[in-house]
Amino acid sequence: MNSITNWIKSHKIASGGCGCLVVILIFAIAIGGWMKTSYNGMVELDEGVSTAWSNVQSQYQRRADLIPNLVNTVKGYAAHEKETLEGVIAARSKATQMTIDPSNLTEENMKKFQQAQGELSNALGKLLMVQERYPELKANENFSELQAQLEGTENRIAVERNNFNKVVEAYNLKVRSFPNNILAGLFGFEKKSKFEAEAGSEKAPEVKF
Amino acid sequence: MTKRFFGFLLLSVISIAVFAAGHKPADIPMVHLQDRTKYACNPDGVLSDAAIARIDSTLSWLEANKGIQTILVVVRKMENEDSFSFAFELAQLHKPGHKEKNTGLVILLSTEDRQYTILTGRGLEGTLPDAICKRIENRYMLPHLKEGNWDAAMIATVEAIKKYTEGDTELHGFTNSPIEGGDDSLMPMFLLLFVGGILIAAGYYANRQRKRCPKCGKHGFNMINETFIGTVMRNGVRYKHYRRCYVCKNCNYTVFKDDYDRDEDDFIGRSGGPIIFGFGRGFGRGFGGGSSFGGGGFSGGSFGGGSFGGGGASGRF
Repeated sequence: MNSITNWIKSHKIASGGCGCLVVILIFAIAIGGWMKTSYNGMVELDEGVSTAWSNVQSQYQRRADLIPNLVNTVKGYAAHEKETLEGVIAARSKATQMTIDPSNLTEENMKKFQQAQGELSNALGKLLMVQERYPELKANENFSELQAQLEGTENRIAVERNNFNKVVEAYNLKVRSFPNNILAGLFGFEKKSKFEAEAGSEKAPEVKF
Repeated sequence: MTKRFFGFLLLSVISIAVFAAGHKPADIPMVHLQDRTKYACNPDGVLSDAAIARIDSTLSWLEANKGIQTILVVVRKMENEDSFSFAFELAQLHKPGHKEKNTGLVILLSTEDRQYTILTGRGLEGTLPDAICKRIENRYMLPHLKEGNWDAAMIATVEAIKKYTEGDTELHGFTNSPIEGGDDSLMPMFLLLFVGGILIAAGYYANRQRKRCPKCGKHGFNMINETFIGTVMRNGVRYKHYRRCYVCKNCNYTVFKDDYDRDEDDFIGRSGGPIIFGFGRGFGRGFGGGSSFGGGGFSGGSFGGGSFGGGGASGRF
């Protein structure tokens, strides 16, 4: 502190060194306050992204949990559709192995996740097409209700994905805009990746009956 | 006259346009906001009045006893031709259901798109899981829809929902705490308290001023007795004539005053009279005359702010 006052005195910046010190102090407090609110704001948004992501994953998990029941019901009526049934089971196990930690939501990881889930969606689509060839299966109430659960889950996934994208958008906006980007770079808040409706592999999940 | 004619023309053009292109979720008028006992929105007149009355009474029961707040919409055509997204947008727009319990429900039928959806709020996903919604649709709604009997389909659906939710003892009405709950509803109350506080303070001040002695200026100028002289008619209004005696307790300054008070049976007291009277009248104008709210602002309902996660079941017929 003494050195600062000496420096101020020697450079004759202010006739009263005390006044200058007060100005510096006010600046320091203002910058500290800004850093605190800005940092906490980013932490809050980051937590929001984590929550939204775990909601997305739990809905995908819910879909995966429905599949064994669905496969068994179809098997009872359409055991010949071995290829389709096996396709679903394989895609399911691949999709359930693919989980991403919220702190690791990079573009590459998101692409992998979307691809795995997209393959499962395709396989499920094929499985549901099977019912057209088996009227008894189509008329089965249990099957119809399982389908309804699957459809409801697809809708939930769509809702959570939308929500996730919104939260990530808010987070990215905060992290990338000036002057927050300086702090973000300092504390390692990185831009996160959103869900994208890609052509082919993963459109917004849609199961129509 | 011409203004009215053009207004009518514009309205007709809009309604024809809506009719041809289909509704948007935001276009659907929410009858519940005008009248808290109504839930069925029937902008195209698909349902009969009798069916609407039955549906409304069942849905009223659901809200009063189970805390489930429903929006039921029957339209001919939806602009986006997808009943789930239409219902979900409706839910996002109006947020029916208790804010914390999320007990909202949207039932949608589009007769020309031949689609229907039951959408459950997050809090109802346990009571009405997707499979049960599908069962209700398959067993109660679908047979009537295939016959084109929209009235019967909707009545059977809401009755079935009532039956399924009756057994859930976890659900109960929110009659004591208003369903809108939350922070939003507290704001007008604070405002009312604040304004009320100011008015009371003003009344007190006016009363104090009235008790100020004209001679010594101190506040102790009280009425010690009054004599009723008789009633007088002025401009068709009946007044009571009193002679009142005021004495200042500080300087004993005495004054007799002739007062003509309006003869009203429901007139509340004399002390601070004009102020309280003005207060009452102000209220009458501000609230009772709320014709801008579509007649009777008090009877209108509100939606609670429930959230939806996409649960429920949709189908085509």
